[in-house]
Amino acid sequence: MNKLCIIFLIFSLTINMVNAEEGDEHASHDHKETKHSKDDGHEHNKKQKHDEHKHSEGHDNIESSSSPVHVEHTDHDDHKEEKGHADHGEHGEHGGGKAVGKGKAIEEVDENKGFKLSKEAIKTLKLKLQTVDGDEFSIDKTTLVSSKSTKGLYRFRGGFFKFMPVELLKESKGKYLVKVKGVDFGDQIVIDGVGLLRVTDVYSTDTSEYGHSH
Amino acid sequence: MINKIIQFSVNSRMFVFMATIILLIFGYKSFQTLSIDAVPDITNTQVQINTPVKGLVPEEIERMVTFPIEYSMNGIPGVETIRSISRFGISQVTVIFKEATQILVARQLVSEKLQNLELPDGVVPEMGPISTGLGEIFHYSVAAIDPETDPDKRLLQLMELRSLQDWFIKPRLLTVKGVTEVNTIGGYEKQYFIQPDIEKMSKFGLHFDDIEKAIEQTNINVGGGYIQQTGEQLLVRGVGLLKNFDDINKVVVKRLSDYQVIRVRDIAKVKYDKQIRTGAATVNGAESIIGTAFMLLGENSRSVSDDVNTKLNQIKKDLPSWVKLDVLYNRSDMVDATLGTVEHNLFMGAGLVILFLLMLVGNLRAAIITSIIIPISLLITFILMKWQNVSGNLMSLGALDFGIIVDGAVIVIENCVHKLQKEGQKAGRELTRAEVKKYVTQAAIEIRSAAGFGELIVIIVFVPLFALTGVEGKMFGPMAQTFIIALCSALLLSFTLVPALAATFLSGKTTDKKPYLMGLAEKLFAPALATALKFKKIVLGIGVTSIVAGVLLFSQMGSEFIPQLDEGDFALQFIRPANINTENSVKLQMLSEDVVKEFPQVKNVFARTGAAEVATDPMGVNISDSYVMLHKREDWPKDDKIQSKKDLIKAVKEKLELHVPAQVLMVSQPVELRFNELLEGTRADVSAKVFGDDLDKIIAYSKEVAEIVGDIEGAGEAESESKGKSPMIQYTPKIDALAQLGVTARPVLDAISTAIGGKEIGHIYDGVRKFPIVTRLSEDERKDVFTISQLPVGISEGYTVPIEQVADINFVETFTAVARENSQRRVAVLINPETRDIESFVNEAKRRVDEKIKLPEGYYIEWGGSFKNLQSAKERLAILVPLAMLIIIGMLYAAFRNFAQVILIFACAPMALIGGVVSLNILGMPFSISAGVGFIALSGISILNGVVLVTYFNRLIAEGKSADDVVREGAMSRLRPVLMTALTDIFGFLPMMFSTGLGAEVQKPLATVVVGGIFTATILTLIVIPSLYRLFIKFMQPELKENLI
Repeated sequence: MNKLCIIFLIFSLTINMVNAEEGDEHASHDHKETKHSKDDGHEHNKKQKHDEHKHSEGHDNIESSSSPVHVEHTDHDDHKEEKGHADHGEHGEHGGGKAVGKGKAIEEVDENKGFKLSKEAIKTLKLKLQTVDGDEFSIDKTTLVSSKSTKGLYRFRGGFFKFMPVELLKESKGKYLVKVKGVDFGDQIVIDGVGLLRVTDVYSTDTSEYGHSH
Repeated sequence: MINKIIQFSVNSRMFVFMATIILLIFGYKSFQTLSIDAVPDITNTQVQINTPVKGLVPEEIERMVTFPIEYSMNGIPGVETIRSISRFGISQVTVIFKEATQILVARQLVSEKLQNLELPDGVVPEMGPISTGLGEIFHYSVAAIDPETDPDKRLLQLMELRSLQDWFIKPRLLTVKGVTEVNTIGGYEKQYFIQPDIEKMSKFGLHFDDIEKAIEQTNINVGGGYIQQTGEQLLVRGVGLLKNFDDINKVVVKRLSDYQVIRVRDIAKVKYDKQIRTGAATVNGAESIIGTAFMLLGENSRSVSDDVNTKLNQIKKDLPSWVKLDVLYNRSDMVDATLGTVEHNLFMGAGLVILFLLMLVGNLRAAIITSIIIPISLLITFILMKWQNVSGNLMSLGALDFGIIVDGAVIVIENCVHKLQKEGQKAGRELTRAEVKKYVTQAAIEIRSAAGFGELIVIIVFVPLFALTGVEGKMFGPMAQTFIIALCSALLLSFTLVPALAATFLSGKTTDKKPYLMGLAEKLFAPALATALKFKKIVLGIGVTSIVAGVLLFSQMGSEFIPQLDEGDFALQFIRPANINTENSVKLQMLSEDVVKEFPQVKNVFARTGAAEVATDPMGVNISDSYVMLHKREDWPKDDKIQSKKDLIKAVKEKLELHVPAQVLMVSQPVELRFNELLEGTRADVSAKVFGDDLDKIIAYSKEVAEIVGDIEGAGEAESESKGKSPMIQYTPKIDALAQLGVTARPVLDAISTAIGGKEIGHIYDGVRKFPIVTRLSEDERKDVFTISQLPVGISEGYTVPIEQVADINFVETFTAVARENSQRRVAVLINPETRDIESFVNEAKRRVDEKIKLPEGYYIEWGGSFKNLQSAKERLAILVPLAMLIIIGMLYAAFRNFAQVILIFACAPMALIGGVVSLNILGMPFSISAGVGFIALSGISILNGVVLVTYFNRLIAEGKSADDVVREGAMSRLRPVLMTALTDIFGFLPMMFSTGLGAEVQKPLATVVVGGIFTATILTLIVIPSLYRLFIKFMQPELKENLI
């Protein structure tokens, strides 16, 4: 049974890597496993108190009761996208619509999976990925994405990028120890180029920005 | 009168020659000083009022700044439209005046109103430069030869470059005559930042204004007057001005109760840092500084841009060795290329006209005399253009057809040759010079009516173009003016110089040799005419059918205002999410430029992201205007698939869309982009403006419109101008909490403004250059939500509280911009139709939008763009062209005194229609005002042919010839002048019709209509007019004796 699990994990990992390479044969893949000692502890920095929440997958922006800033108008990510708005993958660019679809930099947008970029776009954005070995790991501060009061990172799975809110466990020199619900063993995270990836995410999923093209 | 002129010219030939030489000299001088540009300046009389506003959201700016300005402008006399835009940091109100208003008067009136305006404290409105849509004549970049790779060093480098531009290059460029403004975008202004550590400030109980006061009280020089000693006088001054970081660091902020002295260095870092930018510039994928020279209204763009170029070359020599200054865009390149096309067409046309005159006249001297008229009439035209302030451009000079212009001279000289030959044959000897003079005078007088009358008709058909107003008036008015001036000059020469030259140079033994081409034409024409005269009713049927077919085809044609001028280069407008920050927008722009630069056809690509220093165009940082400058076509790689600009644009667009995410692309051209913005307040060829009070609603409607329009075939790009809302952190003072502490909201608001927005608290001088000292949190702290919730708010001396205790902090959303037009809010849908004529597209778009969107009361959609000019031109021409035709009918009746003859001559005009319409269809061109001008010219020319024929028929009738002889002999005899005028007209325009040079597309429809129309009109005139004259001879000549019918 254990062997079967290991084979399954290796298989999943391979598929992920193949997808990533298909997605970006030029993007630099850092497959070094991130090791963090068990004694990293869970001592929270006072500045990150507001990040101590349960984040459900698919919801980028979760309001924190202890956050100094309150989200008055719910962010776009709080909305459950209406059916038909979530998946832009089959639509080309129409007037008033976004450039999403085959032959575009954003090939597909899926409510659950996130958004898929063309391999050319991945190369252009100079994205770097790193494979993680579980839901708790250490990241560079530059990997962390801040959006209003939410902190998160980008997960790359099955060719799709998705913003995953993180729980900051500990801050050390230039690093954060984070726990991310929704990131599993073998998943990859984006460690470089997150700024433009965030803009792409906003562009592809924020219905308030560009309206609907269909 | 004309007879006397002709007689005088023949008798006083030396006078005529001298007068001509003087005119030539004046003409040349006028040409040298004539205002030259690529296209007419179609910008309306407008004054822009730019008001920088800090700390307010667009809706507040609209309410507190934009609306009061708009309101005060409403009372100004001559104001036609007022539109505005309020966005973060700026309010811009554009006041558009009626056409006749002088710009300086308009500015004076606006200035007076602004002086009496009450706006919030510190808000000062300024008028934009006195410039127009054609004003941005020169772009250049200032960059480092070796850009630093270390971010801190790069920041310093960009600051140094910006300082060089602001303090060294710009002031020198402003001395160039004709330059009204030099606008700068990019880099960073050199600023000395004091970045307080808020924890330390809280610890010492310091307020932000403590730092401000400390700097203010130190950074001053004072004068102590002078003191007198025994025999001397000594000036006294106290020097406190800060000079560098060290000086700032040492400034004492406070002495604590325990006598501890707190200096700036104890509580803050002092360093150079990035200012909060509203715009940035990039060149070929790297950040740079771009300077733009604006030309003063009414100046000559070619000479001003050449002067700017010369000045920049001088400046280059004085720049530090690590700096490079490159020219990115020089308007004179476009002007030269466009005028090169005009020059090529004019000279090719003139050459062909001369060649065909030689081939058809068969008399070298006569051909040379006619040819001489071409350059002379052009030089006289320059004199009058200069006098009338008409600039030389694609529209004015580009429309000249020397074939049409020399028609009068051709008719006169042809008759002179004919007469001399006839009289020589009659005399049976070589005519003496006195006889030549006599017969030349007689021939010129004989034909003066046909020549003068015909040319007069061509002039009259052009007159309605003067009634056009607005953009169409500015485009086609100068064209009509130039054409009429050239025609009048040529007509004057036909009755003066032509007879004088003919009397001097035509030989007394002039033989009217029939050139081969003429012989061939007669051989073909004679049987055709005979057949036509046999089947007159069938010919009548053909004539009527061709008219009906022409009208039917015409009614099914699409329309556009004028064909788009190909500026050679193109512009790409990138629209990104509304809440993108400057740095990411610049990064995306640089990546996009890298992609564009990969195309070997691209020479340079540069862009402005956001608004420049002088916000003539207040874009948000989410928008970049990129200019893609191309190599000369001959330098494009021959083995590359891309060989046309259209293919290149398509390929660039596809590659950009595949490689760079998160942006929408709109394609335009540099001048076109600016014209659209200034004329319509939007940057597209067509815009659907949704008006209403509720911004949410009009944004939603605009998106619906964009969606509907985007699905129409040929829509190209359709995009709502509004990108919705942008997130904002909003601090709201807690009044109750503040009341408990006994303070007002002011300290809270001051803390936000200073710590996050930054506050200028003094200057450091370096010679005459001054650089601000700014107090603000560091960039890392500013972007940290937790830190900015802990800002220390000064409650009392030595006591602060974190801002979160005295203010609610929320994320809210606000509109990124509020646009208004004629006192109402509006959101535009920007549409750049492709592969389709604009009028049919707009009609379909209007229909579909009306069907699908039902707007509530108070909400409406207005369509804007060049099609409006087309509609307005069509409406005016629909009244004025028939009116001109009525005048022509009246003139024809006055000349011929016979309605049947008038109708017959007038029938030539619709017969010409079919050729024009068919040729437009063959070349795939829609109807445009350019083509309309072609039809107008065509109707005049075809009537001229009719006049020539019918006049001759009448003359033969008067000579007592029978009806059959009259039409046969008359048509055969007039074949040469009719063919000559037709072929010269055709060949005069032929180079324009097939030209591929820059700007050729604008006049192509005109040339196509005239060439195609004259072709069919000539054939039909030569066949149908004699047949109908014969068929309806009873009506044509009611008094003709029966035996002659």
